[in-house]
Amino acid sequence: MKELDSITLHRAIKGDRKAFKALYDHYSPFVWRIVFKMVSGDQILAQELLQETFVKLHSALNNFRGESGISTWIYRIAYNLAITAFNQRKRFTTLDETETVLAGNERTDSYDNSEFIKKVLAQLSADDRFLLVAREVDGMSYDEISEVTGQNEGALRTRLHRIKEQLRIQSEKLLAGRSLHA
Amino acid sequence: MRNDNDLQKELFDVPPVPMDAFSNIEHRIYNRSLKQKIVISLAASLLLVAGALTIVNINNQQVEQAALADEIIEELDFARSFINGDETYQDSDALALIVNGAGE
Repeated sequence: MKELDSITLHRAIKGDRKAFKALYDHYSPFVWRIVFKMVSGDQILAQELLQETFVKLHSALNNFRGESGISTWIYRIAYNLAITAFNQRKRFTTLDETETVLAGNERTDSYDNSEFIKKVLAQLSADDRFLLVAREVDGMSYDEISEVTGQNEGALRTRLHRIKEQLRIQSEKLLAGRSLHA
Repeated sequence: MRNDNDLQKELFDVPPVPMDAFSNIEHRIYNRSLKQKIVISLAASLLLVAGALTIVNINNQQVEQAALADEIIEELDFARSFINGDETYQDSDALALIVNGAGE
């Protein structure tokens, strides 16, 4: 990810309000996407997490030593908050609900692939969704993701492979169901 | 996946960042800062008042102690004079009473 220029970042660290706004404008779309996907599209919870991330960031900016990129640091705050929220609230679609959607899709022609993918993604843990979005959408390196999550790169690679495999199997199940009804 | 593009499309399908998010963040940050400043000011004022009261109290105690010390010194002087037979004190009523009392 392209980082904010160092002058603006330095001014934000020193407490400059305009610079902090610039920092927010630069990183908020990424934070928003991560938290939104991690909480399965719960917009209210995602907004709470977005706000909490930047409030925490503001209070901790003085401690930023530049050992890793500021984006990694921001991601780590957002990731930890989302994982905590995930554990506390458990607002996620259950497997039963997903199966109902699959069954519904198989029976009718009103097959909505987007809805199906949404439900399949909802089956994943918040951690898995983070990995998928961070890697596939934001193009973060495994090294960066490792810094954010504290998990080693090898484990992350294996897990992403497993997630994709899981999505493929679900997709094939759907296709098989559709063929039977064709 | 049935179609990787579908997955990508879904992953990218995110509504725009809420417009009022930053104003809420600013409110939380700077309102909190203001509250912190007020609390710090109040705490500092209380400390100042407590400090002033302590100084006044110490001052009062010092005055009292000085008065007490003067009294003790006076008593000691009196005792010394009495022992030495100093006339100034021998003429006083108090001393007369003591002497008379002791004589009886």
